[in-house]
Amino acid sequence: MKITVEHGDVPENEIILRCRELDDEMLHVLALLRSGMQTLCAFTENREAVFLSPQEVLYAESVEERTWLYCEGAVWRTALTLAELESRYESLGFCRVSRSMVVNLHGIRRLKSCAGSRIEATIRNGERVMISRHYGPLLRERLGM
Amino acid sequence: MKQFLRFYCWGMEVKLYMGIYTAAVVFFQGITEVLQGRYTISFWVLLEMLLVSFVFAAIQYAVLPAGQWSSKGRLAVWLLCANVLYIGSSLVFGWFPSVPLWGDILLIATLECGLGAVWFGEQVACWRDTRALNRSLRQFQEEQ
Repeated sequence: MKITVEHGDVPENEIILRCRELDDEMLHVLALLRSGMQTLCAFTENREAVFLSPQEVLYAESVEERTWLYCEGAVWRTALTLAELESRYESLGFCRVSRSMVVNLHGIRRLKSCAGSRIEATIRNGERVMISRHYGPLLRERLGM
Repeated sequence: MKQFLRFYCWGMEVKLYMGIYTAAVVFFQGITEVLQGRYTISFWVLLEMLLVSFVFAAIQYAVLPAGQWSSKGRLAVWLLCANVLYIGSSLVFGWFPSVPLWGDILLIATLECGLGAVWFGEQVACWRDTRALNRSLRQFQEEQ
């Protein structure tokens, strides 16, 4: 990928991505650019880019090296990895709860303590997520316990 | 390495319950012995109690994994296994010799109460922790 930086007398900084089609590399660049603006770049199966507010995302799951964003009534794909989602949106409530899942703490309806130091989280869309004893202490720390 | 760590975690949980159950059986065996004027417990009896408790703790780990303590079906299997293992073993190995019938009934009632206490303990601990978790979650959601 060719990167060009042009200096000029422009009224506002501008980034133009020029490509034949939105491939994985371009989607990742787009996602990284957007994450700095507190918006999340996702895309559909047809590779149409969609910009989401991180607050819309209930949780993100990694399946076969692809990251899926679950919102209320919709599922999107993103080029960001779970580690990137967690680090960029941590301040907005994103929290790693398993090797393959990052949950938005604002999207949790309730928590239930289970035997063996595990925690069951019920997400706003009714989905239930089991948080292992490894990630349980991290969640407790995020909640200030 | 991953397999070893999983096995290690399994061992930690099973041995914890094995210890609790062994201590309880040894305690009640000790009481019946003292009441009959005997002040020693055979090493073999202790070993049998330890092994039976290990088997029961392993069954408990499989039947009642994390978060399944409220499942009635699993609880019934757990209760059945406890009764079969401990009553069966005490008959087969003769853990409580010369105990009158009322004493046997009392011991069985104690076993049921003990199992109930384990279940209740799990429920109360989980209930208190759940309340604290949800309080912290609401606080976090309101603050941000």
